[in-house]
Amino acid sequence: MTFTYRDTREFIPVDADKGLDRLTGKLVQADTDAPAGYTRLPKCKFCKNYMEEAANIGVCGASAMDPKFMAYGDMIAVTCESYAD
Amino acid sequence: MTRNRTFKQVLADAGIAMDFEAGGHAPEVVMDREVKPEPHPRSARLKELFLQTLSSANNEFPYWYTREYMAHDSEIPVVRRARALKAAFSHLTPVIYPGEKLVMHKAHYFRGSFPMPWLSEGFYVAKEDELFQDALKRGSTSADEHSKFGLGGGNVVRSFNRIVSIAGKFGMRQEEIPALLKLSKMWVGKSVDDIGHRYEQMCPDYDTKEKCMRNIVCMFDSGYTLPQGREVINYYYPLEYGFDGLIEMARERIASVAGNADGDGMVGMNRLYNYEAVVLVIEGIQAWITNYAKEARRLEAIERDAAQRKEYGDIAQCLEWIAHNPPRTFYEAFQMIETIHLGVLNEDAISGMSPGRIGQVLYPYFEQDIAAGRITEDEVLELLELDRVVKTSIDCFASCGVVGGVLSGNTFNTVSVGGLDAKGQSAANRLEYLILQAGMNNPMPQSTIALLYDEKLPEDFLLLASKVIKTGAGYPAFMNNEIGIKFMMSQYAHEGMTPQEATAWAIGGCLESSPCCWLPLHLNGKEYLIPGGAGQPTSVGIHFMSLPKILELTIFNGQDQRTMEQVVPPHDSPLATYEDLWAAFKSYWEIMCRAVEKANNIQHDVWRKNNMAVLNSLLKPDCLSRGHLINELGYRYNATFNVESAGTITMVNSLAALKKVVYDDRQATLDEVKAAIVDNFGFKDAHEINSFSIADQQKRDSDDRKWDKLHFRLLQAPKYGNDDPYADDILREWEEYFCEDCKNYTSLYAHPMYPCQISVSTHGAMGSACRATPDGRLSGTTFADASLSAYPGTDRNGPFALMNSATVWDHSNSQNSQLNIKIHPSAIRGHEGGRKLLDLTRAYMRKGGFHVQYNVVDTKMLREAQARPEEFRDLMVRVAGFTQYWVEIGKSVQDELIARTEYEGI
Repeated sequence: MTFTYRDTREFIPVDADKGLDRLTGKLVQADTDAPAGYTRLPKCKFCKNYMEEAANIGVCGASAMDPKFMAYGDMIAVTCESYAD
Repeated sequence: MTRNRTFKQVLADAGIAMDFEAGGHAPEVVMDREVKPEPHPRSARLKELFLQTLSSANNEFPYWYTREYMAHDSEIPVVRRARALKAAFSHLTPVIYPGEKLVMHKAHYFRGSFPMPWLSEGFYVAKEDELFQDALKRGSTSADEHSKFGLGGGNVVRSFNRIVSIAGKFGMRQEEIPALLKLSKMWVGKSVDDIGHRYEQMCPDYDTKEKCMRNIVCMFDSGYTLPQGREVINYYYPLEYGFDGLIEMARERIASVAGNADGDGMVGMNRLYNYEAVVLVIEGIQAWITNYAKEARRLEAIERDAAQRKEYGDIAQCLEWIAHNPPRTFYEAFQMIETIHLGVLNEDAISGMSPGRIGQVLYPYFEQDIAAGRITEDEVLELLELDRVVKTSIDCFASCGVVGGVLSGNTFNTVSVGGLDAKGQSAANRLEYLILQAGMNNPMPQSTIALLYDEKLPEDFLLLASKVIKTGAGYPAFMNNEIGIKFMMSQYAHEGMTPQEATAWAIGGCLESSPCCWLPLHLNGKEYLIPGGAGQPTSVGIHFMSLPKILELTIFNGQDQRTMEQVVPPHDSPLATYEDLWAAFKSYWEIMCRAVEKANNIQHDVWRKNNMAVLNSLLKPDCLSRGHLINELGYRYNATFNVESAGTITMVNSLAALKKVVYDDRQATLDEVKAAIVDNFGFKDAHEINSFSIADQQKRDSDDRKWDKLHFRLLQAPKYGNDDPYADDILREWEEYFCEDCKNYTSLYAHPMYPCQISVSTHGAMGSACRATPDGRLSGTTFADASLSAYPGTDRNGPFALMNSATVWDHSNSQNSQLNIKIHPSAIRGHEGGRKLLDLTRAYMRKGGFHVQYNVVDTKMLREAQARPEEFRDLMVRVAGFTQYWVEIGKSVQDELIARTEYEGI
């Protein structure tokens, strides 16, 4: 399975448009496909708690608030205690 | 025929040459700077990465901040804010770039930042449609589009691919735009901007204040734009006690103050909540550091290269230690202050959070590590070079006007060197020599360096500084230590400052003198007194007031000639005498200062109630011992709010021209001068030709030359910068009035204000909004920069005459003054050239000048860089109190830099 670079753990974001491939050391465009075998980066859009309501916007099912607090699918979740793959 | 005739050509016809070369002749060929940088390979690689990086923003911090803040709406405000900060810090994604030794970033980009809608959300909400449309339509990956934005260096000047440009500066992924808008809407009616606006309208002179802002008499509201900064941070407490130690201290204090007012019925009880907030925020910082440590361990585990693997391990070990304990080594101490610095910058929208005298702060670790053989000077030098990459990568996410119009993208993390130690002896140490060397090896805009000049500083230290200047990096700037100390005592003695403590002062922001103190650091049984910030933010009172615009209002009876709005009530004086003019000018100045003072006090009061600094506060003496944060006068020095002026010399020259031509020699009437100003002396407006330098201005095709004679007279009237008392006396009279008048305005903390005289980049933006002025300057063109720089081309008697003009008043009555001088590289070549530069500087300091800085650059090179910016990505220039990449500053300031008088010899 392949992912876009910016959805992988091997991608080091330099800016919103590009980053470094940690394995090759090369600058790559964030939106291009990463080689097969690269690891998926935890993001809200990959989390079981995330419920998308419109493009790139949704709610976090793990939120204790009523109503549930918003979330957005593209947010990186490596530090989120509630992330569920 | 007048078609497209430039101002320069018109003057040439009248026998006035604008190609004036002061003190000699520049070589025909473009000459580069003499001293070339030689960074360590690691620094060079990371700098190269920086040069390819775009300013980028995301929502991670605001998301977690808002989520936690909104979940605790019944909590005590300071605890609620601390919870939000803890959540935000705890969830920042760690990113470590290969080759980094000093790690951690504001956000998970190399040059990352984020919006703070709790300060102001109006821009995003107002731009909702535009941002949404940009986000929706951006789907292509056009190479053509991608290649366009190099023009702005790291600035994302327009949207491209899936990147949406915000405020012409920051790039944000289109996937994040809906979240940005949704988060922003949650702050509608709750942000400092919105709440402050509700209350500032209750001021009787609110309408005047708004007109001041609309007509760019003043730039900007400060309570919600950059509420902190232009101050010196203090790293002492974490260095001395470690974060666990500080938590323990706060918990002990909680037990002591809980339920106990201690005789203070107003805010004594608040200490409990403040200490609780301190604990929460430190826990957030610890989590942030620990997340980075975990990332370093993860990378260590997967890295194939042995050397890099070891470095990840070293990074992890360092972070794991400093997350809890006081640092033991130079490296740990450096990483700790780096972390604290970035942490404070993430707490609030801040420019000008200066590290201060870090060469003296870190010296204990340096001295002991060198002695023990734990580190070499070369390794220290490399770390200092890397620090320049870290500091230059700091962006502040604020509005376009603030970031572009005032800051030119710089965030002013100024390092001070030199000065005196607590015993009154030279404070320059071996580490400070290396700081200067690093600035030469790896010239980058930040940290800019302020040298606190004192007669006791070693000659070789000053000569090294002189050599660094030759790189063209624009630093170090020289600040007069004696003048700085005198100012400290005059402004802060009533808060308990002693002469010894005054010596700890340093530069906050670009050149805002800031109160500091000495505190005893203990390392391996030895005690060192180290300096650190002890005062509140400066440049937060009455923001930049455009003096030429106020003069325009004065001669036009209160009406702005660009917008035709009546900004202040008519004075209805015929201005029959120069004294009438001067009195009317002062009257308008006072009306507008008063209006801005009140509104900004309200904004800052709202800020302190809901958005107070917790992290920055706990660092500053004496918050931890008093139990009060910034908002309850916990800082040792609170009389820091000031009044900022802009366009001083344009105003002085204008008054001199009116005095000479209208009142003394009666060569023209005031009405004739006004008519000529309205008609812009027959020239097009600067915006029509998109050049903001007076030399490039063009006559209108229809011009009948009726204003030429008057224009020449005004241009030839006495000008500041020539050691001519006619003009200089006007400067002196203004300064004496201004320095005294500032005391009539008080901050929300009930302390009198004082003058701050820097231009940053406001001389471009404010000049752009100002019609022609009586000195002959044309509509829309940039004002004279700084507060004591001569208007381009008008200082014709050499640098010593300029310095005589600049020192006709007592600089110690002001927080600062600012003199910038442009020198051709050939004028200071070789050892002898460096010596001459130092002699010139020393002469100015001895005359009582506070500040001078040099732009060592060939004007021809600047013209080439303007024409072909893609070839000059790393060209740096000194603007006004700061250095910036040429390609990242606005055109109005670029034009002014080109136009500045270039000294070919000194």
